[in-house]
Amino acid sequence: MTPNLWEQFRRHFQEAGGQPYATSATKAVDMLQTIIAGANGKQLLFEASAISEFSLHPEAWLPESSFSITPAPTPKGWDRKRRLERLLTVDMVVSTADFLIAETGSALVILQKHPGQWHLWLPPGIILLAAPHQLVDSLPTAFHRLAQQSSLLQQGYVLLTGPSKTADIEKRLVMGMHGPRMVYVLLIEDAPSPGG
Amino acid sequence: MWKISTHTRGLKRRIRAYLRAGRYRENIYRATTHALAQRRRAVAEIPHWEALREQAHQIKREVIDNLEYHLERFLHHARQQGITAVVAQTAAAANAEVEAIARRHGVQTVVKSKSMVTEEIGLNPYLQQRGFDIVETDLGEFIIQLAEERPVHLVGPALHKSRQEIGHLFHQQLGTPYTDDPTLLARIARRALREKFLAADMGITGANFGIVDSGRVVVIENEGNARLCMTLPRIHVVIMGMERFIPSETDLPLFLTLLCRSATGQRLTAYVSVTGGPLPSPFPEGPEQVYYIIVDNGRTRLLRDPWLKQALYCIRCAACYNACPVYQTVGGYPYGWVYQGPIGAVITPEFLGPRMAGGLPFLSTLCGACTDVCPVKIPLHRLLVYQRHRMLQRGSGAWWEKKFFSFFEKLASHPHRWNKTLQILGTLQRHAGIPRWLPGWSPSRKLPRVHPQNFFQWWKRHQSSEPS
Repeated sequence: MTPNLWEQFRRHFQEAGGQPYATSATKAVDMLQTIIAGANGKQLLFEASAISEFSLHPEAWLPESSFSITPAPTPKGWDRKRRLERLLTVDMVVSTADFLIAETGSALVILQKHPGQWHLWLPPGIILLAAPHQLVDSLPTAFHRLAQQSSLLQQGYVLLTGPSKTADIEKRLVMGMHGPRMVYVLLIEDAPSPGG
Repeated sequence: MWKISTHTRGLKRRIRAYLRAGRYRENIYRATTHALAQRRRAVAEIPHWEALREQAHQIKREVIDNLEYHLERFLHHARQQGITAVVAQTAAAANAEVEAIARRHGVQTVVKSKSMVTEEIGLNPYLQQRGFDIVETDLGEFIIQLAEERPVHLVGPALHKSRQEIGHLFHQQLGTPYTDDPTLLARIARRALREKFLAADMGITGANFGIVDSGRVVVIENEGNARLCMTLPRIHVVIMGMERFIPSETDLPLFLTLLCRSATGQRLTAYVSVTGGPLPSPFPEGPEQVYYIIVDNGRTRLLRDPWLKQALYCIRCAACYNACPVYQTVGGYPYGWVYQGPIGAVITPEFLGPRMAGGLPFLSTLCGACTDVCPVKIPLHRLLVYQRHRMLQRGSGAWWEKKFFSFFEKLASHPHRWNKTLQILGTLQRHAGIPRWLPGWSPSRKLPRVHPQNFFQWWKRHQSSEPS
């Protein structure tokens, strides 16, 4: 990892109202617990990819009643209504980012890699996990790397730069207008890059 | 409901009325100067900003020069993704198309994100008159909808309203306890709108860009309401002006950089969504049907004029609003229509005609601040002069103004007559104090004093006194 890149991302993400943290794989769970406790997260939803990519095993450190895991989509699909009802009771989501862009302090999420997408907008808090190889310097670099994954872009992608916000009332900044008001990025500094 | 009129005859009356609206003007001035300062900070981070502006100008020029080609390709790529994409020639056709989609899918409630083109075509009143419940979900637009007003600014539709006014409005319209705390007011709106999102059958958004080589659209926002409009209802309708294309997704970093920094002074807004067709069945968290309605409504008229077609490069950042001393002073309402500020003064006469909007190009000091800040380098102040000329040719302007300037032209183009006139005016002013008053000038400005010596006299004396 280039420390300067993370430092630039951290500063820009923080200026946009986001909360960036970096830790090692062995301390990732401790850090998650600290973030969740600080945000008063009672009901959590883990995206399956976050658990598998970063070996989180929430059953080992969370009471069973306090978390759920996004189910893998079946050919029949999900029950839209039940999924929506569930998401409206969730306080925090643990998901993953596909790129972190230092220039703007943004996380890029390719929707096809993350079954469902309401979890990115509906709960009040979201934690995005990322590995160092996902850090890029600028928007052009991110789009260049995105173009190499064109088969995954059918459902589009989003760039998240801090929490949902508004300044529509006398230019006063208010966080959490329609989407999450707490957005965390947790970089796992020693997470392996693909193929190595 | 505030009466909105664009008629040129009412323009001066409207300006006078808003010049007297103290709090309105204070709020506008505070918001525009704040936005300008934010923009300056964000632009200063990019050392090659000017090169980016030039690059964007060239890309938009190519797109607008070959608009038909880009439009066809965009439609083709969109349809390949299962999107129903149509072009609406007029506002009426676009509204009818939305109504037909809504009826086809049994829609009752429509949630909508901020979109100037839907203001332009008058979509909200059209759907409301036909029994649909249409709700604006951007906080500023929600406030404006509750107040039954029109947006005063492209980016900040309610920036003229104080938090106390908004507190009273929410109390009266939503029945919530009065508060003027912006955080609590935002929370009230979030709660009220969340219910609407969950009940809505159709979501309508605009598009900041249409990407020609993928058929996808880009929506930029801070609140997350557009994202909810796109993904919670069963039907997503995108309504966009036909000039909003960029050739490729690789052009997006350039335009995102220019738009976000120019509009709000952010490196990037909280959400940038690049979205396309309906999701395949195992993924229910998105619309089942997606429609694109691409609106012409007079844009091809602009396209035919070699000068005015440059106005179609506009990416709607509103930086020209914030930089314009006229807009800073009177805000958006005197312009009387959807598009305001310098870009509005250029394009509105093309949409509404010279009788209704021929006075707008004169709402400018021609200082060029708009041109300096435009991220795609539209020569706005030159287009304003060009439009003034066209409007006068097409019969706009008062008869006495034409007579006066024709007389002035005769005087000013003849040095002897001009000098003589100045001499007489100077003498009258010094000895008799005449003229003391000029309509339209004196109430807010001092009359300039005619110098006892004109330039030629000064030059002669200056030359003769210079050492040889």
